[in-house]
Amino acid sequence: MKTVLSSSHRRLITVIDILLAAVILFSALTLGSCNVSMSTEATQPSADAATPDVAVTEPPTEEETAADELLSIDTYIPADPEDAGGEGVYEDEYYIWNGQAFSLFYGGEANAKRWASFTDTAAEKMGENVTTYAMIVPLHAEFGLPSRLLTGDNAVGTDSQADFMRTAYTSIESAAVPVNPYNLLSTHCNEYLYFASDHHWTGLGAYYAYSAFAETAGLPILSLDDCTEQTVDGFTGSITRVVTAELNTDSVTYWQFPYAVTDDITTEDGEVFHYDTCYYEGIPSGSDVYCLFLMGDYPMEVIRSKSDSVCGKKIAVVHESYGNAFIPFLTYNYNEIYSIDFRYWNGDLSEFCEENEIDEVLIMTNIMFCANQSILDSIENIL
Amino acid sequence: MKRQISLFLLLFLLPVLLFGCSRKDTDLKAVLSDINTAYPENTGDFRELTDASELEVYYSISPDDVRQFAAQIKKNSTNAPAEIVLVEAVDAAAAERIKTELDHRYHSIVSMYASYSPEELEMAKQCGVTSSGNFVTMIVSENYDGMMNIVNTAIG
Repeated sequence: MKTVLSSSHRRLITVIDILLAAVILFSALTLGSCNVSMSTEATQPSADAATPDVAVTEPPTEEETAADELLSIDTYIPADPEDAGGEGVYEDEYYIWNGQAFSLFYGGEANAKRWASFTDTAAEKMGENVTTYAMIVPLHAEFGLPSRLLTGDNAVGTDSQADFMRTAYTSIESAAVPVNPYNLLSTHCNEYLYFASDHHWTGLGAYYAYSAFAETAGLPILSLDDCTEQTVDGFTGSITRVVTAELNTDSVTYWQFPYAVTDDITTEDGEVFHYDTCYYEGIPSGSDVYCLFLMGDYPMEVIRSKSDSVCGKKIAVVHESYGNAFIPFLTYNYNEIYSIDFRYWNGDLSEFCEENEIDEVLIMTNIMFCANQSILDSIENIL
Repeated sequence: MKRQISLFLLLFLLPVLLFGCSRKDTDLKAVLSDINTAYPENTGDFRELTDASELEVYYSISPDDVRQFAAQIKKNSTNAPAEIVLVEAVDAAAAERIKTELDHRYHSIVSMYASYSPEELEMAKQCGVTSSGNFVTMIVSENYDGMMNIVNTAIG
């Protein structure tokens, strides 16, 4: 968790440190120097006075406190991105500001509760032998736009993603496990988390979401320091084609792992292709560089890992294209990852998990999809 | 005598003409059927919404606001949604609320096209939400103009 703590949380930890030190100092004075503390009372302490009447609870460690707050489904830490000034413009359902295009989000409380209901149904369909994780992937706006553009009379017309996620996660009534990546993204908002010219997140944004998942699932987190960073420049994403405003050109960073990874892709036609990597490493610059992750969108991919940190673990991930940048990191924790793009896969997930002895499922979609009942229907059709 | 009969007929028929035409009895399910007949190639893979409570699920439209409706949603169209929603509201205020919700949905659909099917974005932008009296429609289809002609002819 250490690798993903921001400066604001380090400050929080420092405050906690000071409080803890004060408590320890006070205890030491009370226990070890009773004469000093009791001198004003004019009575001698009994032998038992050194032992508190109430049970002492171990205070949470620094890491536990920080992790609890970052993964909380109730607490949403507002992002504080650097403000380059100026106003943006609307174009084709995007808000363009500072060379970046931001997708707008439309979703209210009713939509959020329906997502929770959908998640409950999914967990029930998967059964008690399968742990079902559910992650909402937030969009760029709340992490990239300064607060003056998100609130007030001249606010950009986009619904609060934090409110949606809070309602959605806290409305889950089943055994489904909510995974909240919001705060980790928020506390790293000045890093390169989302593309300027494309609606997707970057590999780094996906990494923080992976960190949230691993922490929630009680798994060790892959350190990017142990990987080899690679970058493809000249990414002009999908939004470049639909707006006239000039957008920043992006670069796509990915990480090669210190262990072997293979990827078997099944196409919509049923053909299977085998690769000794889960990245399309030779992809040229241009508009399709996001296809570098998992080679693009396919109904089914089986990614196998020789990571030493696990033995025989399997997981199925139901997702759309946001999952493509996320799934490679799971190779650190799982030997077999079944990547299922619900837009193109027509199977029965319950049967599939039983046949392949998969006991963990992660359903992750971007928040725009989560607020869309037709899309939830599409996912439910394969469960 | 003839003048008296004419006057009587005029007095009798005038209210019928005035009030009878103020609310045209249009069967929206029949209108949707006409659309499907006219454009079978673009309406074959749709799921029809049959209960008003589904309007609340898909569009946050209160069933209490709805006098009648007809709607269908294209199946498995995650990246490029196609939807036809025809609603007659119970009154003008309800029509306004319904229009607000359908406007929301339409913006969301256009946003989906912009992100996932930019090659079809222009088509989506040509579509939209309309209202006429208590009738409110949202159509997103490559046959938008033709479908709207059918709707406009029906609701007058």
